[in-house]
Amino acid sequence: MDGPAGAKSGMTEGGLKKLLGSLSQDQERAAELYLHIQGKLIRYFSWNSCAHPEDLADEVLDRFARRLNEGEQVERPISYILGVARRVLIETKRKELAVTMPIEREFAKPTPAGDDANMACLDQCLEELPPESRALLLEYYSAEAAARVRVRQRAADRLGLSVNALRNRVLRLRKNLETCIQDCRAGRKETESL
Amino acid sequence: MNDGLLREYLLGRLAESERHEIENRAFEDDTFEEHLREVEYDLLDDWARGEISEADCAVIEKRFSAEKLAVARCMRKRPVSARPPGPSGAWMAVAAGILFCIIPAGYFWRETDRLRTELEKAKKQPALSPAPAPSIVTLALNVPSTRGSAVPVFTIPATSGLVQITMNVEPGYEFYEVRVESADRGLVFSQGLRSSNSSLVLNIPASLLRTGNYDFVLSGQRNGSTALLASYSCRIEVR
Repeated sequence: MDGPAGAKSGMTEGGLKKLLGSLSQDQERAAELYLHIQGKLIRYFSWNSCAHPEDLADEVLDRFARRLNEGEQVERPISYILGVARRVLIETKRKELAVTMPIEREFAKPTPAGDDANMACLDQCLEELPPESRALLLEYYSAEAAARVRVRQRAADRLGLSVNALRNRVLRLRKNLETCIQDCRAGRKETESL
Repeated sequence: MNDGLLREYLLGRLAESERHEIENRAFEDDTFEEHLREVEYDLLDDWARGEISEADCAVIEKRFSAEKLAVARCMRKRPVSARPPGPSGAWMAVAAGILFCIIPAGYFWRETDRLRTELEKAKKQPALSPAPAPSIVTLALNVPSTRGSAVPVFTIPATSGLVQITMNVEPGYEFYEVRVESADRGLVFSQGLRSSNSSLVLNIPASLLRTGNYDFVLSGQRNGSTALLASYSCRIEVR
């Protein structure tokens, strides 16, 4: 029987091998797909407003590995994993409903002090990017809604990329920027508490 | 599928059947998922510009993570032509570097005696435990790095599929994060984990690890604040 959502039980070696084997016979490709699916799961839980999407993604993969290890035959792993994710989401939402105090998001309400720290981290993280990536990222997100399509098409034309390829590149940059800012903030908090 | 519908999905306003249709497609079609991610960022940017209704604002502030909101708000404040200030940015990087050294130093100074004993024990242990199967390699990181300490060397067969790394952790945190940083490639992997005891198991696709020096940076989160717990340095050789 599955444990509660979020309670990580750890993946057995046998389960993990079967999970990777179900994704591809080629080990390297299987490892890539594992990460790819993990990323999709994290975004799925994030879009469904879960507090710890990474944990829930791991929980889904753990359960899937357990099922395979128990001998279950899975024809379409992606669909199966999405089904498990939906079940974990329902369990998580039920648990959240049982919590009486809502979790307050740290930056949800802007505060001058919080913004100063975030801006400092943003500058630091932008500085770490190559100049052309930094300029591209700022340009891509510079336009208001009405001008967005035009600005992005112009950037794609200039770089000789399709709009989809440009989007893919910018999404990676923005994700890295978010991670960098998150780490920067964590480092600042640590410093403040010393 | 139009952007308006995707926005409604992100705002949590769609019926189950529509939601499932979007999710099925996002899982099966990478290009569609990228488009959905773009719609998400655009929605957040519109929120940061104050270009959406008050009702949508409230929903966004409730549904989206703090980090995403913070980035969107800051991106809005950083005009396209503006570059991060050169000298102060550089100074900040230096300061951050110094702080990065001071924090672990403070932590490790308190732990010196315990670590020294453990380090001596670890030096006597083989660096790499034998892999039970050719596709999975198991490594144990027992002792956080300290200045001047010997860096363990792990050898990973080039045919490995996955590397399982166990590490000791200070218990009592709700959530742990391990960041794997390569000396020459920067961040190569990070994973959030929970642990009910004093160890963590990290699974990394072996294809991400090449020969080189790595830092496994462990942080813990409790009561809403994150703390740097330890850093494990090692050299990995892929053969």
